[in-house]
Amino acid sequence: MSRLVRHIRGTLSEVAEAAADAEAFCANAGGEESQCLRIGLALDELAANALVHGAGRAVFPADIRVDVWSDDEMLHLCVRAKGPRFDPRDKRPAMPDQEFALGGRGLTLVLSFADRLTYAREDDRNVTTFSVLKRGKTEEADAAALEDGGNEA
Amino acid sequence: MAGKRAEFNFETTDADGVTVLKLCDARYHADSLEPLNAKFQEIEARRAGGRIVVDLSAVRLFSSSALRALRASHRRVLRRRGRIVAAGGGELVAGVLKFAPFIEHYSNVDEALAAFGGAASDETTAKD
Repeated sequence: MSRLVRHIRGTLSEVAEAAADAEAFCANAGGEESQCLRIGLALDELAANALVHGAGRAVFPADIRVDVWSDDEMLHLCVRAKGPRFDPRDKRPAMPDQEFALGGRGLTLVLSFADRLTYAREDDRNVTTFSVLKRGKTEEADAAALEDGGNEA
Repeated sequence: MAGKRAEFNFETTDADGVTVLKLCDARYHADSLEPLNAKFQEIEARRAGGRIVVDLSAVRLFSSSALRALRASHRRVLRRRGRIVAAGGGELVAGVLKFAPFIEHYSNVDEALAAFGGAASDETTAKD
């Protein structure tokens, strides 16, 4: 199974380049455009967040490792970065609207666009794996799932 | 951390006191924050800068950093009693803008201009 590996040492332009490579890799793996874009967006948000708040602060140059791969159904992105423990799934206080320009909602976007998201702490690294279906859910599929759930209940 | 500064392309059109700023690239990653901030501030400083449509019709990926630049501009424009709205964009762009409900989002530029009361004549366009 092929895999794309990129190392980000400390600049946001490296993040953008890695995201573009990841999108292209996912497209070659048969991912729908919208799903490939989700991988690119998640890579951007997770790696930039690690640069600004974690790996980039603790160690420079940073060493953020990005892996992208696919299986029959899904596209996967894994971001490994040194830094203080940071689980993107943890609940955080709601951001006051007036502070929006100072902060970001990147992690909210990542959580929102993931079909599956896992987190692990490995030694001194945060390991976040973001996965999406190769083919996005259609409204019809959502409606059918809802109907099935309703029948089971 | 900034590294080499990313370059982005823009087109601006002025029509009846509304500036339409077209973001011509498909992807606005984390490295777009500073260029977008600079462009928004330049547009805000123009005569018609208080009424702005940000045309996202060419955009497929709009990160939280790009959204932050748009929100910062939105706040500055509001303080001047102006108005800035967004128009168009791919499916993911619409998904991202749902997290910024304070920014009005129209499906295309014509609809956005109509929200300003119509502005279709005497257009002047600049590319950079």
